[in-house]
Amino acid sequence: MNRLHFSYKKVALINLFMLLFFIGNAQQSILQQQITIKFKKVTVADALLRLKQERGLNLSYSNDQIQYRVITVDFKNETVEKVLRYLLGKQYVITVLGEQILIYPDKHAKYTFSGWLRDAATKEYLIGAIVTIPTQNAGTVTNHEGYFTFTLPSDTFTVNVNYIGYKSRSVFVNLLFPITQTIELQSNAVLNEFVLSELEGFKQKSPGLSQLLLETREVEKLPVLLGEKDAVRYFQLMPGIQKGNEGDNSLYVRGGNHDQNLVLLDDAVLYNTSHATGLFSLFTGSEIKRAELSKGAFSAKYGGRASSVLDVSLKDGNKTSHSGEVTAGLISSKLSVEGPLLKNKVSYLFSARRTYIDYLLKPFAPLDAEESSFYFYDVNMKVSADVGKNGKLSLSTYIGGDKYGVNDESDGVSLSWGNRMISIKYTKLINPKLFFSTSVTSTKYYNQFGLLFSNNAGPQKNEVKSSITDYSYKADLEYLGIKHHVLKTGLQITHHNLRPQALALVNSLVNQNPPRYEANALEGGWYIEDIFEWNQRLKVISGLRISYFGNSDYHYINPEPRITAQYSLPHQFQIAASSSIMNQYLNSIRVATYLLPVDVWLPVTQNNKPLTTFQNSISIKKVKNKYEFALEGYYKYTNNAYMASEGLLNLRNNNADLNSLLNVLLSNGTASAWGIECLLRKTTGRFNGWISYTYSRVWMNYDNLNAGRNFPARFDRPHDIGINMSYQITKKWISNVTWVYGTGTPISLPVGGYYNYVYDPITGQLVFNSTTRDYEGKNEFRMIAYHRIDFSVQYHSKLFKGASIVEFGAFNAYNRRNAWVYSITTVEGINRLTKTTFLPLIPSLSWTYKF
Amino acid sequence: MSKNLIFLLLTFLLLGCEEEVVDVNFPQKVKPVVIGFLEENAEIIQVHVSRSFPYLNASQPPSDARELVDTGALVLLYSEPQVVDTLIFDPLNLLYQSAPGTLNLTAGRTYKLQVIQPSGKVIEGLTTLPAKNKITTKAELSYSENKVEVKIDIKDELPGDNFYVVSVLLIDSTNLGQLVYLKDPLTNGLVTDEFFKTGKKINFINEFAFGEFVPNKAVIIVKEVDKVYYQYHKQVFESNMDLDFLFLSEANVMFNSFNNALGAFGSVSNSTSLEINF
Repeated sequence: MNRLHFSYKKVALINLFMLLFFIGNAQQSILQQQITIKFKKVTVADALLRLKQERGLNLSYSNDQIQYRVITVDFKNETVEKVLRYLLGKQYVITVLGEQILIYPDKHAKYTFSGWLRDAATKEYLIGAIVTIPTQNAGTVTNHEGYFTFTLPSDTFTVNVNYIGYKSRSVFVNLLFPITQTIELQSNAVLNEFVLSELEGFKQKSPGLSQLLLETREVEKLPVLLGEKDAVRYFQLMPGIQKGNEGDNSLYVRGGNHDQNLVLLDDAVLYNTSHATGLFSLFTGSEIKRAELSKGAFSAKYGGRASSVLDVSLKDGNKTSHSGEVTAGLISSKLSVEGPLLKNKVSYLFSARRTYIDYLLKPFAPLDAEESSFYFYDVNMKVSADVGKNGKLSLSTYIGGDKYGVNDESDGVSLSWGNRMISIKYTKLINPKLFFSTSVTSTKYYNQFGLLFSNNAGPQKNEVKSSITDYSYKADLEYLGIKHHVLKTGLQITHHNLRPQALALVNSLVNQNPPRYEANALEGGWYIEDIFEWNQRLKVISGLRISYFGNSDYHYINPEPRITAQYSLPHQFQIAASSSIMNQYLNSIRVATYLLPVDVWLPVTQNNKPLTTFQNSISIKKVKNKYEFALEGYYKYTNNAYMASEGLLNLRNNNADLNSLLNVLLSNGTASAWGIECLLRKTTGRFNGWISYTYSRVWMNYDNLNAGRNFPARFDRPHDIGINMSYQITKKWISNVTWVYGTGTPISLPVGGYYNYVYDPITGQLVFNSTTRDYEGKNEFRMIAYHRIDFSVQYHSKLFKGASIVEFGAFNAYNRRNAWVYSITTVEGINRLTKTTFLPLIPSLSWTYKF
Repeated sequence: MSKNLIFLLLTFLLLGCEEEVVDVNFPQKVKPVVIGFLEENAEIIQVHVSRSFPYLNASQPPSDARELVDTGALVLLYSEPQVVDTLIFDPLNLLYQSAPGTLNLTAGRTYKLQVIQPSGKVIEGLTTLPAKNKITTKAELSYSENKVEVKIDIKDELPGDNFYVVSVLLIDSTNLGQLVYLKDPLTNGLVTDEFFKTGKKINFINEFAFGEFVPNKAVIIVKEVDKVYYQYHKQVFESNMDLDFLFLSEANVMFNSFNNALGAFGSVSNSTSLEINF
């Protein structure tokens, strides 16, 4: 029996093996069966259905688990397995059970969940929105094109999307295959409904105070000056960023000069951002989608400036309906319209602003004045289109300028400057993990200052003229396919054409059109950057940029490494540290005495070496509920620091020698800057705002200046305070108050004067020359401290089908007589120091209608 | 001030532009001023000795420079350890100067100027006459009705920074000394060896009405100077501009070669000249 029993077992086992053998063979036979079939523009689900119907395959799957994809393919004598793999990809398990082919998602696989985030009404892509998946402990922000991506295990989960000024949204996702989804957010009229916990998370993602963001809706809360809002003024209220003296709206960032800031508008460089001798900037707010200012170890994709990057993106324009706003103020008006050119595909944005103070002043102009002008203007235009699958194309232009002056035949003064730029940008999501963008830009900045007068020799004109024209190409790749890493690389090439000229004396006796000096140079950069997020606590951004600048006479190639590390501690604390080396190859001269916004840009040369900065910073930050507190310290050392040489800014072009021309620049200096920045901010609630304080110093040293002793830079202003408070009184009334304080600007004052003699090399005699002021030291005296308070009150209401905002306020409400310039004048026979003030209390009233 | 400039300022006045006197307590100082230059083979040397005057919150400086000249100083020139000459005050020129033909200054030698003020204060400065250096000058001239252009290429034999002052004289056919003294608009004729190392030439371009003056030849004089001469003169010319063009200039902290006085003590040595006929 036992033997027989054993024998049954043996037979059963043999049968089982045979069965498995046949099943295996059957599997092989079904999957290895060869078929010929054509698919033309069909979905994967339809292709599977045809395989069932036309080829009799017994496929078993769930339709909702099949990824939507349209295919066109021609199979000739291919195995079933190969056909199915082509249709389904590697993320599915394909197995045979009996006569059935089972198809189901591989639960152990990881898939990409990516998407675009945009405004539900305007279809505007939203940059910097927060996308989180709490159950996966994952979170990110949308990139410059409104795109985000995750790589996650196959599962079901809820995705939360938050963006300031929009209603939060949760999306349920069943990640059984790679998904790319467009998520739309509804605009939220109430500003403060932002989810606090998400905001906390976001704030903790940016390191210290090195990166500052401005969204359009924050601009709307800023106080007005003569009816104008100003995005640049927002940043000047932040720690580490100072405005210039009265009338100088430039940015001075962490001890850097005004020319050390890279200002980009849709990828194109703007070389000057001021209007009306520094009263306003080019950026008014309503056409801006987002502005980001980086002042520490900024991304390796930026180069060419040593201190900061202000990257401004214009809105794309409403893709579904036409909308706009009109603002009428006391001295200027503005129109902004946007809408679809092709619904949901192509949109436009147009905005224009012009002041009309020249018309108001015309009755007061001299009777014989042939020409008088006193205005500035801006025109922004943008056309954006969705091109192909996951592609976007945009064309942006900006034209703006200032013109002031009054002239007749023999007497007059004129001052003008302006920017023109055009940018064509194409972005493409090549696959869910690879993002490509490229742009071609052209920009021009020009300025002119002329003084026309008459003497015995006839009409004379002193004129300063300068311009810089760039043509630039850039391409960037962003790869998101490596776990914990985002890799970026790209290159940029710019051709600069510089035409510096200062003080050309033109009169009736000499050349009416003096030759203009011209310099051409190429500037390039290649970079690689890795954003490494090891977990929710540690993030390291490391990058290397190789920069190039040169022409046929000289070449500079410099590495620019940079690294930022941030770590989140318990109790919502975050610490961060950064280190960077930056180079700058273009410098502008602005003479301190009168601070006119007339910059003369000059390239480095063989003798004038590139400016190089070494910067280290360390910060601590805490974001808790409604509050944010940050403290950051930095030290920055600059080699080959530039400044205008003493005496007359003389760039006359009758000497066509660049090295001679560049005598006006002193480039052999060093600058040491250090500071402590502090920010306390309440982000939400009816009452919100911030207090910022910076203590900073900037010391310069030149062998040939100030007897080789250190002296404070012109922009060395140790104490800088900015306070902004906003209070929503009711749903219709919103008030805002801003107070700023800055230590007075250092200037040079004489301790005496003397009569000097010079040696005549021909006669060998000492000859009396003139009176000389004895400036014992450079910048040893400080102008009075700068401070003022501004306030505004807005009244929001509905009017017809749109919204009306009436805003009134005051600039410099307590009428502080801040100093514009100091000069020495003779009053009743005595040399006295006199202060020229510029901006007293200025009330403002404006009305905006949004439709 | 022109009416148009006034109008432009008025428009700013509408925005509140106004001037007011600021009371500041910025200390004013009176310092001794000494200016003197030596030249190899010179007939005489001259030294100016005076004092500075308070500038801020003070009366206008004296219109007559004589009020500031220090007439009672003892001015000595040393070639250490010996006194080479004692300079005598010349009331006509308001300068201390040597007696003609008494000096024999040598290139490459260091000289000391000592000024002892009546108060007993001693001011001392040193200068070394530029050493013997062979200077080769090439020049190209182009001349038209209203314009003369001179391109000069200077070569020397000594290494390092060498400094020059270049003068271009235009002389007419009468040879009576109707001179037109051309200066490089950038440096007022002052150049450094750095210019030549870059392989670039110095250009003098002057545009003016000659009137009836028609030059028929140019004389180019190149003199080698020491660094003190170069720095002092360069800054004097720049500070002249500073006073005249407030809109476009930066305050000059003047170069001084004395520790306890304003001014400079420098020297001129090798020279070469070149004559070109039109």
